[in-house]
Amino acid sequence: MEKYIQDIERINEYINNNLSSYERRLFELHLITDSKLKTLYEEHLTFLGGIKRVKLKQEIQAARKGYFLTKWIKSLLIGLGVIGLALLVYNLVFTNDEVVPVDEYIEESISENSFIYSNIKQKKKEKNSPVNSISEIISFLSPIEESFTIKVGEESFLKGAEGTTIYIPEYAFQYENGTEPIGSINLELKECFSLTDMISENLQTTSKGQILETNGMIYINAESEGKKLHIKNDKAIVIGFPKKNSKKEMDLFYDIQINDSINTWIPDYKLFEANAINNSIKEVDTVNDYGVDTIIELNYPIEMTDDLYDFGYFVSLRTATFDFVNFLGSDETVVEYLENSKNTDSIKAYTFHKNNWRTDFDFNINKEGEIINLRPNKDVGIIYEKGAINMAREIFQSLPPFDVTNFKKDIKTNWTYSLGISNRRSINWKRFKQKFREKYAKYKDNAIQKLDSEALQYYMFAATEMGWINCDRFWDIDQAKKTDFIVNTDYPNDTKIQIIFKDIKSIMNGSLENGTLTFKNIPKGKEIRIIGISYSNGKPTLAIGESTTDNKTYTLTGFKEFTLDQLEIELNSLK
Amino acid sequence: MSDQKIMMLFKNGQRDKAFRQLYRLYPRIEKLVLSKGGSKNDAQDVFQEALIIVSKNLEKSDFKLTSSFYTYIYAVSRFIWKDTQKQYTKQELHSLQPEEVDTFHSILEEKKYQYAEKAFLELGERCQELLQLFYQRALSFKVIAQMMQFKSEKIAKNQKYKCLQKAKDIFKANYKTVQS
Repeated sequence: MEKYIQDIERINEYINNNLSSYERRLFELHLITDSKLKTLYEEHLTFLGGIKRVKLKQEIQAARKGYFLTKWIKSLLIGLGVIGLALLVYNLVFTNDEVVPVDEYIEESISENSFIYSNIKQKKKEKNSPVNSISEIISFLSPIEESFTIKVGEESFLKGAEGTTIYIPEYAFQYENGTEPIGSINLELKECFSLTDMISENLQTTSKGQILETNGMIYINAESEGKKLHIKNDKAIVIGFPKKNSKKEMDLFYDIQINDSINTWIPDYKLFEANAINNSIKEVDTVNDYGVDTIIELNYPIEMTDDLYDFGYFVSLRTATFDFVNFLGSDETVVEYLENSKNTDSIKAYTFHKNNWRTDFDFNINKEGEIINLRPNKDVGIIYEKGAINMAREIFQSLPPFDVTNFKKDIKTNWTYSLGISNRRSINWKRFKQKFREKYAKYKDNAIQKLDSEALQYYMFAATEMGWINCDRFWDIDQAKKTDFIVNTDYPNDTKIQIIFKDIKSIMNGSLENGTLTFKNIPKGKEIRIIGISYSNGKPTLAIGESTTDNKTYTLTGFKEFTLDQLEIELNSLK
Repeated sequence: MSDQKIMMLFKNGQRDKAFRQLYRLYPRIEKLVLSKGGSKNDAQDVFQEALIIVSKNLEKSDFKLTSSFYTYIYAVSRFIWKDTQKQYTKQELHSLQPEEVDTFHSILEEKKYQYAEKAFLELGERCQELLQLFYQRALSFKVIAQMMQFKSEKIAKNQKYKCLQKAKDIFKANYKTVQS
């Protein structure tokens, strides 16, 4: 039975693509050489095909019911339409009643099955009316504000107008002072999935200068009896962002205010770090400046075990030469090499860390650039552990030779050079993220279970904060492929300029520098649209341009007054 | 909705929406089956089978839909009905066009999955639930143990493999019987 279980597990790992490329090749080789494994593999595929049929049939049955229900509803609506038309004709022909105008604001509230839908205020849009103010534009463009009311002691499943689902476990909230609400809870939700929504809310998709590709953002807030609520420390709400045809892996980001005028997005698992930095900056601002180093105290949201770190070395001592001379045939210095975790034997580095070791050496360099005459340094005044010396000696003796020929200053063969390493560790964010997410996995699993197969249509995240929340991923671009892009306009102080990338859903605000609007560190060679809304002569004006980021500057002209209808057409042509 | 949009729904994993759109073709398939002597129930079974085959073929990297969905589903349904009635003559099989051969193979290949499905359905409800939670919803043994009230993850894991072995034994017995 054990062997059977092991074989099946391997087969599952292979089918789900969870093996490394080496393990994959090994498995495929075994399939050729081990006929029993091959038979088991083929049987398993057949079995999975059978289970899949069960699922497909369930989906087809649901589609069949939906089809016949829609057909029935259409027939009913047609029938009602005919009756309604007949009544209207009767009223028009045979009565003198005045038609009462419909109220401009329509409030709807639907509650269906286990989802709670919101109260939505929908405004009628006036076609072709000219725009008279920026606030009018924002009001027109801004996403619908939705409100929900839930009970404190009941779990709730909310659904937004744009498809966002929010699972709230029972007793999820508390006031700032730690006490719990007892009455009903009011939740506010705004969903921003289109670029026009983001433009109206002045949102952009960057995280500390790095561009994000967005799947959408929401704003959520909760209060009870007029007082703001927070999510309890050990609890989470679960947000389902509709996938909107995306299959890319996404992460959750929170909105953080860096200073009075700048916000940025921070991944959920790094929020603790951003908050600690923000708090320490605020503390430093209020303390007399005696040049004291402030160590930021971090309160980790999860238990920090060794497996969450990458272990490496920190160059604790070096002759200045080693910051400049490269290895032979490489553009890397010995300092860069030793501090690069890719070059590190993780077991040795872990041993260094566990023992809190440090070792400094003196040595000479021969004409070939090789390290010779390696001996422990005596000037630093540390007594080095024997184990540390032996391990560090192995590392140093395995270093490639230095490029003494091409180094602009001479390497002297009779000089004593010094180089030392001490232990260093850094958080492996991938593993940290995984453990962080596991902390709240039970809430996510609960929500997925309740949504059933519908969960596949969402990016599901457990969230511990409210406010603006984003479902994004970093747009990975090499630093060498980045550039700055400048937009010139006649009135840069009174013009809001944003750029939108055509490749991905991402929007950036420019920063005003020296009378121009600059977009920093954006990828080269990308097609962009430039949207400008300016306010001059008492009226808002609009200009939209297109360019590629290979052109370093762009002058946005052709600002014209516009109607809301025109604005909607222009912005709806964006992603 | 156009065929292209239905294709996008399949590609984006929105199979349920794609099926709902394709169900608009059902009346014509029903008409086909009824005209060949079948009942409405037969028509529903044939259409269901055709949708399963279409869905599975679209997942294959080497499959290309060269006609409209209607044309393809109609062709597949015709084959399925004929196969159900064992109405193929040797001459017919020999004169199949290349794309018809592919469709025929899809139907034949699907038969073993039908036996696997039957074997799965012969398991007890608890076994079925366990296997579906693991293979369809990809839940961890920890979550499954909680949901199904097993005492531990290890017990859930062992039980899953027992259910799997039982399903395979049933499949082998049924499949061998048919083949002999």
